[in-house]
Amino acid sequence: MPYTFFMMVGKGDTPIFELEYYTDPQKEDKSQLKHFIIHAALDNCDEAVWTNPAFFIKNIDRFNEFNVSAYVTSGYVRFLVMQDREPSDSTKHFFTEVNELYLKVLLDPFYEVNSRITSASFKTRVTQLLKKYFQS
Amino acid sequence: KLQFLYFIGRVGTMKNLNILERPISKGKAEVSLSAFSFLFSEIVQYTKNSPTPAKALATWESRLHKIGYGVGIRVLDLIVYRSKGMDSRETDLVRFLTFIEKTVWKVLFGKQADNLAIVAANQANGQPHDVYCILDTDPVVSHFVCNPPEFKKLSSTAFVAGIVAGMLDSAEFPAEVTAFAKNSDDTRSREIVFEIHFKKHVLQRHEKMKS
Repeated sequence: MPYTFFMMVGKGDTPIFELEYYTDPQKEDKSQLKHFIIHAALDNCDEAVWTNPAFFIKNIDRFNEFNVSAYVTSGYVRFLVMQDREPSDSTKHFFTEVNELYLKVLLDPFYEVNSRITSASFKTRVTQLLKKYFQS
Repeated sequence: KLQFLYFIGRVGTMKNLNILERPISKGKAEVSLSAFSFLFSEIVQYTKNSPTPAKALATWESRLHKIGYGVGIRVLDLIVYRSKGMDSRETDLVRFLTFIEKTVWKVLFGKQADNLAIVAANQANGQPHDVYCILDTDPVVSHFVCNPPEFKKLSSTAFVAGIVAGMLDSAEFPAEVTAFAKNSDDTRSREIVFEIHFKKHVLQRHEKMKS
């Protein structure tokens, strides 16, 4: 039963959104380890961003059994996925779909750029996407 | 009766779709010049008097700049999303400026900007400092703007300068962007210059990446 943790980080390293997905209740991370790993991965992200112009960077960091993949949009908002398996190319499709959702939120003139996304429907849709791409 | 109410409810939900469920528009729809001019003229008048009446030219221009800034941040991601096949960010300064001059201008105003120039200027302490300029003749934004006598040098293209600044900031090329008429003496010429002063670290990074 895989464990996946998705986080969106904006300018100035402010967290915009985060969501865990797991089917096995024992795998729930109660110790904030996931935040620690993602935060450490941001350093690698900052370096990789100028040498690799692609949006999707498959293996940005690893910590023990966790692998982190990243997707950096043209507005330099970083989407990071931490999972306990090897990252696959389907993660790229997941990121592209989340990018579309994020763009829809961004186009809302009442959304303050770089602030937390609190919309319940956004959360539902991201959960659906996580289920779709990280189920097995 | 229940079925009838259910139908009414469904019609309601079909019309009021959540923003996350509506597809992002393809951008093919055109807006009439008059509609845009009305809106822009209201924006210019609004920024003059709210929240407090603007006494200095700079305050008025900075308000327009701020409105444009919000547009710029959003327009960048939107244009990149719409151009299918764009799989990577633009990390090179000059290429990004060319992207703004050609693609963004075309999307926003229907035509490309005239020219992109690099003017090597000297800072106060004698060090060479590159200033980048985008030149545009007769921007559609200020077609119908006639400056009031006490603010003769107002450039409503401060709005467009804000758009450029928003895009540059968003793409990690922070800069100060100002817009002004190229020949301020000749009021009939409508050439506008957008001067882009990048922050020092951006130019340093650009030098590093070139080598």
